[in-house]
Amino acid sequence: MLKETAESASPTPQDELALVARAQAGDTQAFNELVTRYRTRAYAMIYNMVRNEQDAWDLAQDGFLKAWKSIGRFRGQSSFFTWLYRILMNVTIDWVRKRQIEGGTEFDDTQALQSVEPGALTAPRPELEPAARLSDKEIRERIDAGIQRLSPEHRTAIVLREIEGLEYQEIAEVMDCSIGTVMSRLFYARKKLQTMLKDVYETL
Amino acid sequence: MKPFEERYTAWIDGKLSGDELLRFEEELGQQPGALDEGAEVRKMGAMLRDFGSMPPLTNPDFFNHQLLARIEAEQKPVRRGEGERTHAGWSFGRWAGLGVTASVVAIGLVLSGTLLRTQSDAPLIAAASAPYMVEIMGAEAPESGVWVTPLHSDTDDVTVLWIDGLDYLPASYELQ
Repeated sequence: MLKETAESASPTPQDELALVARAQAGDTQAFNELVTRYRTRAYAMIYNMVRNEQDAWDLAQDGFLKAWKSIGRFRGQSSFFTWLYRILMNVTIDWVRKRQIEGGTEFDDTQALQSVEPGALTAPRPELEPAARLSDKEIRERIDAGIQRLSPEHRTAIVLREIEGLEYQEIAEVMDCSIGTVMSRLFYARKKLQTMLKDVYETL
Repeated sequence: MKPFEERYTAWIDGKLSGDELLRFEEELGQQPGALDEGAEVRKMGAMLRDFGSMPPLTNPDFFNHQLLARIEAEQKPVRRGEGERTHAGWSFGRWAGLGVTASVVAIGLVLSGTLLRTQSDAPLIAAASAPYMVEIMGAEAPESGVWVTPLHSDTDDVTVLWIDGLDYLPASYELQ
């Protein structure tokens, strides 16, 4: 179950379940409290996926709105936050996929798998010479560009693991897949990022 | 045995232990540079964590306000359909909504006008360049799905007219 970092002071599971029950009965104020608890973390997670403040805001809005519409279907089989995370991630992944199609940069997973052989332990060296010490801004820009070149699934896996620090089981719950699939996605996402960012982390 | 990708990922994340760890590192040791490669992947992970931080959510209260306004707007069509009388294709609720909207717009205009009249020229210039200070002249709402909320901040001395549901705002409506 995901560790919850709520904005309000130490909410108990009982508090949360009571709020969820009230929201399910149509109490917007109860839902508003849930939003207040999770808006910062939700925004951060989405920002890490899309790397743009306005897009992250809009997607967080869309995700919470979708959660409101679907809250009647929440059965408590996972924590509320895991359930919410899954909705937010689905909204974000759909958006990323749509953007990649519209921008003509649709990610081809088949190609990705061909370009990184499982047994190829050494990432190809980038053609660029190792850069001189980069500024923090330049490093962030390179990381942003690298993450944006990953497929939505690989991007989600790497963000949830490396930046959000979730465990495999938690990522599997959010992405609605097996732990093995999560680990495989992490493997390929890391390999691809390593290829793109090698000259960056080597200068650190 | 698990696929190589899964064992490698578990190794990178420090999830292997005991015999499993020894066997896997022995396997990797047979490939030149493989162990160093793992160290590089971990270094990259540390970089992602260090530089992956995001800007904080600015204006979180407005985030909630906007979301609640959208929820409210979503609920409106449901309420309208509940046993209301219709007239010439428009429900009573729709006419009422238009009336309320028009009233709120009128109040907004009066507030904006009052605010602008009481300010000197310099604040007027500042107001014109403020992103939310928009005066709407003769605005009308052809659809009742348009909602207008006048907001005023005493601390910042700013009035914001929040309009939700308009497809676009004609440029001529903006305060010049």
